[in-house]
Amino acid sequence: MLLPTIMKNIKMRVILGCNLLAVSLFFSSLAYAVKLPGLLVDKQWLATNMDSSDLVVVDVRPTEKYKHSHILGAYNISVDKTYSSQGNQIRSIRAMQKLFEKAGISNNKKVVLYDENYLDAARVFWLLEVFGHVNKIGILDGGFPGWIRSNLPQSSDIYESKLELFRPTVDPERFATKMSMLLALEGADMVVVDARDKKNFHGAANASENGIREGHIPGAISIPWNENLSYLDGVPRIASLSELSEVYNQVSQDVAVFIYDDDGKKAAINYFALRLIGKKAAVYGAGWNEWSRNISLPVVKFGSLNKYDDLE
Amino acid sequence: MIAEHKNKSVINRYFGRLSIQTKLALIILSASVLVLTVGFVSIIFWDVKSIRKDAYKETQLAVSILSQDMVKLLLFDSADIAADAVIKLKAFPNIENAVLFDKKNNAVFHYRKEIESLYTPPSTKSMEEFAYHDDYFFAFLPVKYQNTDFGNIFFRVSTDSQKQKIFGYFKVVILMIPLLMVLSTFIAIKFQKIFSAPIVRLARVIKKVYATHDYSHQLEFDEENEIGELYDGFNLMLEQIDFNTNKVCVSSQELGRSNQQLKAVNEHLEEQKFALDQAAKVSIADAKGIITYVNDQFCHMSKYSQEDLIGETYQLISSGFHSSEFFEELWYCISNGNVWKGEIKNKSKDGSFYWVNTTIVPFLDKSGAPYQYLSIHFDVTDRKAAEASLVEAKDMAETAVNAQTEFVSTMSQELRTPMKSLLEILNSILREENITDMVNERVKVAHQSASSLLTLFNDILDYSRILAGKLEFDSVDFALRTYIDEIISSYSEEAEKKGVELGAVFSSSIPPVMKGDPTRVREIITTLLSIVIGYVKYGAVSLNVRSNHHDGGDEFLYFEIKSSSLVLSSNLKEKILNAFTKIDGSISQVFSGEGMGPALSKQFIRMMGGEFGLESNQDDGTNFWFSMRIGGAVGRAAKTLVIDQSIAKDQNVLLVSDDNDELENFKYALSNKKYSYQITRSISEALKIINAPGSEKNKFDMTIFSMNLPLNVLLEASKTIKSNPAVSNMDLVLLSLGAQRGDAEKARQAGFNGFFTKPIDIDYLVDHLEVVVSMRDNEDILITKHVFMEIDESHKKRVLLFAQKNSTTNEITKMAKMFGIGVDLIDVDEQLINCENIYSLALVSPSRDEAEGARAVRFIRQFSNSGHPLPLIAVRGSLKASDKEICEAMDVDDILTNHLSHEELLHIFKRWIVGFKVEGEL
Repeated sequence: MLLPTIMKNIKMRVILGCNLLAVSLFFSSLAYAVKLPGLLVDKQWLATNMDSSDLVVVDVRPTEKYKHSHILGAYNISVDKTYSSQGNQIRSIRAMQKLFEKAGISNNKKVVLYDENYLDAARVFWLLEVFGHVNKIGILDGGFPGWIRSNLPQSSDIYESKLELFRPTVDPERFATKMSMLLALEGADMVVVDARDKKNFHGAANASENGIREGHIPGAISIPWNENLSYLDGVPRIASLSELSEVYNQVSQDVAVFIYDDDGKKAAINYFALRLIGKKAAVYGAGWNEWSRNISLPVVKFGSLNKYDDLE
Repeated sequence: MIAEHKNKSVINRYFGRLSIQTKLALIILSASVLVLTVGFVSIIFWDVKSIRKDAYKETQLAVSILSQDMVKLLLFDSADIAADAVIKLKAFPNIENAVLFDKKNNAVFHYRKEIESLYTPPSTKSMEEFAYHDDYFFAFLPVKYQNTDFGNIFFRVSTDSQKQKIFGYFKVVILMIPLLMVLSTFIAIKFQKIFSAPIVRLARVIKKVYATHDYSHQLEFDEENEIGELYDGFNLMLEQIDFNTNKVCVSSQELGRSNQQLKAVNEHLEEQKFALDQAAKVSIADAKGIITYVNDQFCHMSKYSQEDLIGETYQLISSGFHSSEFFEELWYCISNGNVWKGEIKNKSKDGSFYWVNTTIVPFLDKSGAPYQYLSIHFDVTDRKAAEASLVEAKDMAETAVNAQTEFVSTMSQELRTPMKSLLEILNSILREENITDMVNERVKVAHQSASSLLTLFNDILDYSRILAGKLEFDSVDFALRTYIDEIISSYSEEAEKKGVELGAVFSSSIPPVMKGDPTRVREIITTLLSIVIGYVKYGAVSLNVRSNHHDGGDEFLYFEIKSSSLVLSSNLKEKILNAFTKIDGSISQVFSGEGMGPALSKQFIRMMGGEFGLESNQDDGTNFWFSMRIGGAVGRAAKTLVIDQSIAKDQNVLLVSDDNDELENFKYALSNKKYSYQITRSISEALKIINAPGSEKNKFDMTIFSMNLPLNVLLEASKTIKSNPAVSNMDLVLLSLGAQRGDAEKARQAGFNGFFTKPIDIDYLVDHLEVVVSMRDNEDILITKHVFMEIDESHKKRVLLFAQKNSTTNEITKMAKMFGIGVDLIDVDEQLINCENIYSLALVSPSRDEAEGARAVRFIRQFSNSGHPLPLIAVRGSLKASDKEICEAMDVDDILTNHLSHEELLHIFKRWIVGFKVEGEL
């Protein structure tokens, strides 16, 4: 009854139209306001923009630590929950979707991840990108320890979103399988990077688990995960870009990079590092755990150049 | 309408003013652009349609390749499987997005070609299997594995690649169109020349011709199309113009020349006029005939002065010799512009006559009407006089020739009359019984000589008629058979003397009565027969008559005179034939040899539409034949002539004759017949008697004219009598002396009922007068001697002789004739019986065997004979059994032996023929 009478008055109509325009402009400014400064986000920027509805802050530390204290408004994805029950494989797509959704991540939300040592954040970063959330993620530089040191707002409230919808996809360019690894080994313009410690690469370490062979995938180069990090006052930091360039100078610009490790975290830090210096890479998610167990797959020791030496 | 008109005028204003070249170029250009555009558009349209098809195919392919991965993904939900599936999906570059749904239609997995580009699929509820939205192709297909449904997959397929393809086309088209436009413009400009060049060329030539006036120019061309025709037409036109121009040119040259000539001619003419004046008499008259000029010569001749003549007409010098028609014709001729030439008799001033040969030349004005007449006269008075004397001489000569012809004719007529009298006298002498043999012989010789003389005279008459082309034929009814019999019997004596058998076979299909000229027929037969009999030495001669065919009412008769025993040598044959052909006007030739008979015969045959021929060879003997066309049955058979004896009695006859002997004969015969009669010796007296209004007693039933007078006089008399109604039904009989062909017909038309040619047996005539009387009412029939003969023949009893012709049959025929009985020989093989005759008796003479006899008997028994009983007599060679037995065996009534005798035959006739009597046996 009221609406038609309002619609009849031209003045009222103009006012209503103006209001509607203003509201919509406001919301749209909110929606597109947040733009991540880069793959590494400094705490000041986060502190400034953490209220943005477009931005989700996700704590990837174990749940106990999250429950204890976390950045105000941050959701939690415990990195342990990203592993399937068998080894260090990724959980099912459905489970990952739920995990992301609970963390308030929908497909167009910007995400800032934080932990204490970059390894966990790097893994979630890689996973999110694998599941299609590309160029929308940043890792908090300095992690939670830096946040605390700056005395920025914290909370111990547990957040869990039930509203968001994450539509998962899988990017095979970022996520390698046994199949794609084998295919990659046949290819020319590629390089396989072993992110494990050097001794593992050379097969020097003693076998910790049953069935795991020592050595590395034939033709792989060894870039251990810790070369990506520098420790300042015992606090790990991502190496500077120049340092990283030095680390990855063996990896030329045009080749496809495949990284593997034995826990799904070491390779992720390599992945993140490569991303930082503008390179794309795929991580063999199942990693050495799968490869070495499968005796039909080739493994070499001592950095033998011939990937088939071991077989002979 | 107005708008349209306006449009039209606008188009005309802009388009109509363009040159043909431009127009052609524009037309070609626009046509090619149109064709190009249509072509491109249709290609693009077809491509657009193919987009959907391609997308559809792609999704189908993707599903078929990926179904296993999808199932695995749904089952295991593993990132590894998903990664591998995505690798495969990437192989389909057009698939932008894919969403895998589980059975509950929950989106399980999303594929994005561009990872970062987010896409929200539409609700599964509204999904169709295939759809097309916003340039994307949507497909929603089930994921199946081994017929188990695991879920659905949604594809969003980009059509960009196709669109780019089409866009590529567009670019090509847009690039091509100007290029093609340029190309087609170039072609149009080039090609329009093909059409416009000839026209331009023509236009140029026309201008050139117009400028130079050179009409002899001819366009050379080798096109055989409309342009060729145009050129050809133009060439023809130029030719015509050239021709006309030349003509005009020549004419004007000629005109100049002729003007010069005219001058010369004028001078010349003066001279010629002078010359003409010297040579001839010249006068000129105007259109009305008034004399405007005469020269001195003319004046001299006419003895008039110039002053006398000028202003007068030619009437002044007219002699009055020529008729007015003569001058009218003259005027008609010259007033129509024609030159008249002729001779005119004129009168001079002093009244003397002179003849001039005049040529009148009319001078015509432009309209063709004469405005003056130039007359040139030459004096021909002397020549005329000479001519006149020549004509006189010629007339005299012609008169002489005519007189000669007349003389011959009259002479032969005159000679015939006494000759006939002489013959009659000789006949009567021969009839005398008490003369000595010597006298008899001499008289016979005299009779023969006289006869041949008479024949000769007749021939001469005929011959002269043939020469004059006046030969005519009679057309009277006659019984051909009677004539043939008569001829045969007249030759039988001669034949018998020579020991030659003579007989006639008369085909029964010939009608008994014919219409024609019996005398001529007889002459021909006689001529031919006498020749054959003349040459034949022994054996038999037979005269066969056949009817070849009917042609309308006419019969085409074929006569054969055959002798198997006579063989003529080729020389002799030639000689005979020559006699027939030698009629070339030379009388001397005709008189040599056989006389004129053959030559005349040939003429007769020819004139009767027939032919003749002579064949002679060793095997078949001689066959002398001829054919003729002769009038057939004329609708009256001899039998129809029923003689009513009662009417014939008590007839009152008027006899008109100037011959005393004849009168005596008549008197005797008439009184014998108990006719009353009166005699008169002149026509006028006779007419007086007839026309006199007398009592019933004096009325005459018949008048017989036997006067030696020209036919015309007698015909006039007849007409006079017939015009008198009181006596018009009187019978008129004419006895003509020296009758000519066609006289009979004339007599009939004049009203005569009977016409006889002398000499005639008066007794015979009077005996048959009853025929004339009984035929009184039938005006169409003229009674002649032939009719009498016909009736005699029909009164004869006839016998049917069924046999093969041989000597026996000949003998029977001959003997029967002696008894006055006619015999119709029916050939055993032909078996044709003339049904018109009624027979009194049938004789069957089987010559071969019994069976033939039996067949013949059967045949005759079947013949009705018009209901009359027909006794059947068999002729038998010998008698072995009794008569009765044979009669019964053969089913015949009586038997005649083969050894014939008069007595036996007479016996048979007497016994079987009712009313049979032998002459003189009463």
